[in-house]
This record gives sequence, structure tokens and C-alpha cells, in this order.
Amino acid sequence: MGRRLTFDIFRYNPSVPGSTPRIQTFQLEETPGMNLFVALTRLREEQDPSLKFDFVCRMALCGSCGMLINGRPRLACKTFTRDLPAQINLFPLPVFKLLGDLSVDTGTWFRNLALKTGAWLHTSRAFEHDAREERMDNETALRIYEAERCIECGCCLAACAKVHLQKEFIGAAGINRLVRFMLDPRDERGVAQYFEVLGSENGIYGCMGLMGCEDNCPKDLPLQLQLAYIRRRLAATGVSRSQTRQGKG
Amino acid sequence: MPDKPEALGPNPRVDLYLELAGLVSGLLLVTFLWVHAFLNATVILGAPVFDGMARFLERYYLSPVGIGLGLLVGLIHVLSVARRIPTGYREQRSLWRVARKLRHADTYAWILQVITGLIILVLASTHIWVVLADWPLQAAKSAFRVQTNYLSFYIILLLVAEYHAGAGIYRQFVKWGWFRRRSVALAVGTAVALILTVNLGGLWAFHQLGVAR
Repeated sequence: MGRRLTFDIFRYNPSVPGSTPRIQTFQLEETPGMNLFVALTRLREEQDPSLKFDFVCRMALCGSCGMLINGRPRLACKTFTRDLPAQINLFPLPVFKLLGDLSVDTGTWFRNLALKTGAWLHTSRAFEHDAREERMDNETALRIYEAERCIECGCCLAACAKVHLQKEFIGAAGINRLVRFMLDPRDERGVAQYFEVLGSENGIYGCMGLMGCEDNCPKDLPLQLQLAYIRRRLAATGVSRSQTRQGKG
Repeated sequence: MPDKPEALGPNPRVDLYLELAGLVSGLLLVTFLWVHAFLNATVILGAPVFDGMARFLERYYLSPVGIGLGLLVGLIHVLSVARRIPTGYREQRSLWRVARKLRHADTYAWILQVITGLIILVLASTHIWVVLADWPLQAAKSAFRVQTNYLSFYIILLLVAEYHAGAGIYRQFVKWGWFRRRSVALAVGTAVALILTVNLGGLWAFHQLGVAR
């Protein structure tokens, strides 16, 4: 027999008139190898079909199931009940728009980030569909991959006090996404152009070094080293350009 | 989709300069603090050694220059890092709420760094005031202070300053450096422990000197 788990779950559906935020308590028998995906699915199927939460891949690849598990941002599919006490509190991720209960909309935030920072490959070359793909050396590919492993679940943003203090700060997920394009030889933007986008209080120089991002990243990305890398690259450019004010290239 | 992405700030270099000012002034202050520790600790070798050191610094104008530059750099440091302090009620509430939920060591360490910074502002000012009011430096005067009311004052100032300095260089190395946090923490922790020992040794020597007289 497993433990008897108690779930205190945040319930609120902003799209339903008259809905007010409250905590609902559920009880569930723990089964071997139970993760929160299993637990929440059982709660929905057996106890309350109106419970809202997001899952797609159940294997820490899609980034949908980020939530506050006992106060800390975690992926529900990657969190096993055996690692938690019998009392489990579930809240939706802060920072993002609440869709209902544990479900939040990370998509809008990341789309705004992409538009604001130009987080896509900038190239003047037209795409040739029948041309052979260009080769890239393995080291560069691996470095890009290390940044691109980010699944944009938003846990680093929820774990960063600075993001809570300053809504415009793009956080580790935002900066890491730009690192990916900075490393890419196909992107034609120079460091100076990246400085325009990232070299401010809302970009890399807004980071206070709290390290909550790295410590709460479900994918164990080396965020500290990524942030330090971009901080140095941009500082070198920013200082050397300080004499001549250049426009956008 | 806009073909030109919106830049985040009108002139982003200001934020870089503030960041660099905080970094450089902080490192200079740590250097000052550690040099100060060793100069202070000359009293372990005896009051005459300390007095000789004080006279030497005085003769070559190193004392006034050192203290003057220290004050200037300190001022720059305060001005460049104070922007980080969440001063508003809403910000404070937001910060503490995140910290309490996360129970994350480095977030708490940062909060403690802000608090110790404010304490240093008061205590270090008092320390400078008291020392300058009783100029020139002499082992006997320092010993008298330590033996009377100021021992707890100096122990608090020492612990608070060393914490602030240690946490500061750790954070700066993590923010700018090539090294993983664990190695940075180990190196900084060792250095702080060493300097703390030197300082406590100096304080103990002053205290013994006071008792002896």
C-alpha cells in the first residue's frame, strides 16, 4: 500500500463568470513510479473532470506542464511523488497568463519575446529549396544545441525574482534563445546589433545573478555559463563602441 | 511581423556602464578591505610595528589618499548598485513572496547582501568618523576602543563586511566568469575565511593590548 497523498490545488477559471480563486483538496493513493502527470490525470478522471492542466509529451520535451510544485517551478511529468512529502501543493506558474487552474499560456509570452528581440534567423539570402544544406562544424552545432535544448517551459522565469520585479526583463529563457542565434553562423546580425536588443536593463544587464533560473531548470541547461558568455561578448562590444555612436546596421 | 525588431532601450549602453561601475568599484572595495585587513593585522606583531606602519602610511600621504579614494569608490559603488534595491512596497512584497516560495539559497543570499550593504553604509560611516576624529592612527587608541565599547561593533562590522564582499565577488564571478559556481564558491569561501582569520587575529591582538595596559 502506498502513502495517502493530499493535494491542495489552486482552482480558478478566469473565463467563467463568478469563478473565484480557491484551493481544492484531493486525496489519492500513491502507486509505484507515480509522477504528477499520472496523479493529475487520475484526479481528473476519478474525482473532478473540470480540473484544468496541460500535458502533451509526458517526457519533459514539450514544456507544457510547468507548475509550482510545493512552491518551486517544476515539470509535472518529470516530478515523482516519491520525491515529495505526502502533502503536495500545486499552483499555476506565475508570470504567464492564467487559462484556468494549473494551465497557463506560455505561448503569448514567448511570441512577444520573439517579436521584441527578433528571435529568429536573420539572413538576407533567399531560401533555395533544391540547394544542398550547408555544413556546420560539429563544435558549433553542439554549442547551438546546448542553447536550443531549452523547451521554453517558463520554469526559469517563475524562479527569477527579477522577472517578478521587472515585467519587461526577458529572463534566462529569453536571453538563452538569443544566444542560440548569436552562435549560429547563418545569422547575419553582428554583436553590435545584438547589443541593441540585449544590452540593457531588460536584457542581460538586468540580470542580478540570483541563479534561480539555473537551479530550477528542468533540462539542466548551463544557464549561468550562457548568461556569462553573452554578458562578456556584449560588454566587449558595448565598451569598444562607446566612442562612436552607430546606428542600426 | 515587423521586419525590424523593437530595441529594448533607447540607449542601452547606460545599463552596461552602471553594471561595470558596480563591478569595478566593488572589486576595488574588496581590495581595499583586504589590504586594510593585513595592515590592521600588523598589530599582531606588536604595537610598535603597527605604529610604525601608521607613520609610514602618513609620511607618504598613503592614509589620506587611501581613505579619500576609498570613500569616493564607496560612493560610486552605492550609486551604481542601489538601483537594484527593491524600494517600493509592491516590489518588497513580490520579492519576499518569490523567495519564500522558492526557498532558494542564492536568492536569499542576494537579499542578505542588500541588507548587509545597508548595515555597512551605517557602520562603516561610523567607523570612519570615529577613527578620523581620533587621528592619527595609534595602536593604543585602537586598543582602547576595542577594549571599551567598540568590540561588538567591530565584530558585527567585520562579519557583515566580509559577507557582503564574499557574496559580491562570488556573484560577479558567476555573472561574468568562465567557471562553474561550485568552484567559484569554494575559492571565494576560502579567501573570506582567510581574511576573516587575519581580521579576528588583529582584533584579538588589539584586545590583548588593551588588557595588558
